Amino acid sequence: MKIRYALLTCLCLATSMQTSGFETPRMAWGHPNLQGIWTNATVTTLVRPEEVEQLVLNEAEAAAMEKGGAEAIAAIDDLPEGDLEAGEDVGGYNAFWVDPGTRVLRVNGEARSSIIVDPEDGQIPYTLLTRPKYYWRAYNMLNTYDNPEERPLGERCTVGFGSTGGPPMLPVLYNNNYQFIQTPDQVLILVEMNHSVRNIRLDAEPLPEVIRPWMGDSIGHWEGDTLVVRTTQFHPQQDLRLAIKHQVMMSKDSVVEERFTRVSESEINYVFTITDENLYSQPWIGEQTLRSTQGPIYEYACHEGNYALPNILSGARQEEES
Amino acid sequence: MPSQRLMATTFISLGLSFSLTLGSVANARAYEPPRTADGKVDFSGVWQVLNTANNNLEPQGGRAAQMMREGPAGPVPVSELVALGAAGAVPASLGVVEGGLIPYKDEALAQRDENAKNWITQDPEVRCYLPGIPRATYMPHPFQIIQNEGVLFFNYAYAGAVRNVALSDPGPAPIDSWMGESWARWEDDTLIVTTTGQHDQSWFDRAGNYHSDMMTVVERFTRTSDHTIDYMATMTDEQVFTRPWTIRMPLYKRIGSDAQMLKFDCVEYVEELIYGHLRKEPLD
Amino acid sequence: MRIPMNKLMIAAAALAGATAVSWEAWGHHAFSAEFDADAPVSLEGKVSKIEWINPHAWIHVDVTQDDGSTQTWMVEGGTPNTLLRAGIHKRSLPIGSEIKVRGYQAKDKSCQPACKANGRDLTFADGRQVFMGSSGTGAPRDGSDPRES
Repeated sequence: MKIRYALLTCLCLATSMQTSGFETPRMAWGHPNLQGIWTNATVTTLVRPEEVEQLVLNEAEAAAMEKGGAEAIAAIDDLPEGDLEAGEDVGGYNAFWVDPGTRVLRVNGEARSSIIVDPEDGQIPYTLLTRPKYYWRAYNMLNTYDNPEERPLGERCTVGFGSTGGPPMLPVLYNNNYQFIQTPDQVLILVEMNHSVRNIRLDAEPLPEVIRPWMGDSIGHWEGDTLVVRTTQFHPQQDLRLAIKHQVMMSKDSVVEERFTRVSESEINYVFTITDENLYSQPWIGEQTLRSTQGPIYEYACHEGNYALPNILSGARQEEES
Repeated sequence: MPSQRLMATTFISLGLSFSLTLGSVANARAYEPPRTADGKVDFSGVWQVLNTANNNLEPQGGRAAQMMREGPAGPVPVSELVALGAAGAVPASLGVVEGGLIPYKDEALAQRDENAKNWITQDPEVRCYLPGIPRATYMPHPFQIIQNEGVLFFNYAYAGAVRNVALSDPGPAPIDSWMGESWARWEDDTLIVTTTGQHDQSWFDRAGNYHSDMMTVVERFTRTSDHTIDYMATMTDEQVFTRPWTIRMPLYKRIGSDAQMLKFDCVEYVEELIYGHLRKEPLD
Repeated sequence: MRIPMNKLMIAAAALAGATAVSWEAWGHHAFSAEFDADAPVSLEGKVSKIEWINPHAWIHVDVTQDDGSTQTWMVEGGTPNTLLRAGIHKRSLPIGSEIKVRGYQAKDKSCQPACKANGRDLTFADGRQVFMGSSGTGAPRDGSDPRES
């Protein structure tokens, strides 16, 4: 069923490419050219909102969702006059700091209500046992201030927050920019957040098992004009990926397969499948469109300027004393 | 002291750098470098220095540790470094500055010496901060240059640093950053990269050599063989130096199984150093 | 219509992370991890320094206190990168600008080397929003969209 969906997607894409007359640009050595700066910013979230049943939205629904997103961003700056109230968590900063996307995700022209396309309900298929484990782990990560290693990876600046660097690479509140750079033997993806570089080695041997880099060990190959990337050997601490726009529990043993196909001058179709039988009742699939965007990618030197983590830890120490 | 430095600089620059220049030009003429599809000399590959420029750009004698203190009968390592023994000792090095010494203004030289005295708490490398340019080049870690039509990208192992080199002058950087803003041009077969927009927090080496946020760095990359690049970088910074000065060194290509580069993601390795005192129960 | 529009909009708002829920603007860190929701502050003073750094920009503001002394506050903002994409640069908010800050003090109230708060709302003394204006700040970059051309 799942495999059939992926196949269908590829077939659709192949057909649309033929009909649109788009000819895949190529590198000097013949590989399809994915180079450039791309963004996955979108109003659409990883999982489907509870209120929505179907994956595909009609135009009026898509417009309503985009309006809702825009109004929500505008509401950030719509504060009452005078001093702020105590006791309310009204959050961080003015809207001009965030950049979460304004449009609904469109794949092949189709407006989508979630990035997840399989299972059909648009939810992550955690097993019954995993779900409480996920909540427990998330609760602890957000409420444990004893040691720096227990804080979320984003706060520690080891990788960007949530799953922005992935894999899978998922949209977050800002800086959803990726630069693809190719050699005959590699595809590098520079993730704006934390200037992380995914080094996808083509037709290569896996790294020794003791080596578990952030964002895992990615090995790729070309299937026709599609770049297929299989990632394993995740860093054991990169299991829980929390952001506003997505919350995902994975594990060091998760396997992510990604498929990148350039479908037009300005779009890459990006399909990912996550397999981890200890966590999920089935492999699950997400689909995004990466759109070309203006550069440059700016430096995100997170660790160097990380005043937040010492503030968070020292704040916790002060609260314990009082 | 300053006049001694100046004399040393002048003597060495008249002798050494002249012969070095002649030698490499002759080699460059004899060698036909590989080229990318657009005919430019191809610098692609994984490169690394085989020197200790990161310890000190200037010549320095060997010593027991990077940071020393006065002992009862001569200098000894600071207490934080004693346990490292020979693993923490610093070998003598010839230096890579053309002319030998960096032409500091007097007050800037005093600041450099102060930096050196506080190396362990002040050097950005100790805290896994981005290296800046030119230090990124001669860190004791490899880096990969990726060059094709439309892209000139430097991917450094150390601290996950990257440098995306623009292929035309992008104008002034909107804000200063650790790695600055770089752009490339060509003079015949030499790649010239100009970097500005670096703030003043990066250092040149572990010896406290430093710069201001007004620095311009012009690097020159010339291929001299299948496995070497002649690398030069000229620093101009009127706030700190009396005149522009240049470092020069070969870069070596890593080949075969050595050409694979793993990132040195050191952020997680310095958490105890930077945040250890903020644990609920600090360790001994 | 298969889905009531109001529900869709609520869903979008909730998931855009922009409603007044506890996860609001949780980018690099959650608001409540660093700041004390029970300690709102209103500050008015001169910008003395701006650190254009990631993951958060920090605007230093010199605030004159009731006794005439000056207290420096460090005010946390978001990532500068979004501002750079909107054309803002290091001279866009000049040192010496009079600004008003509404926010919440950090849980760390040691005020060493300066007091810290988040800049929930930044305006100039005359009420104009800081960083808004002709540069079009706030217009997110979604990438080229075929429907736009």
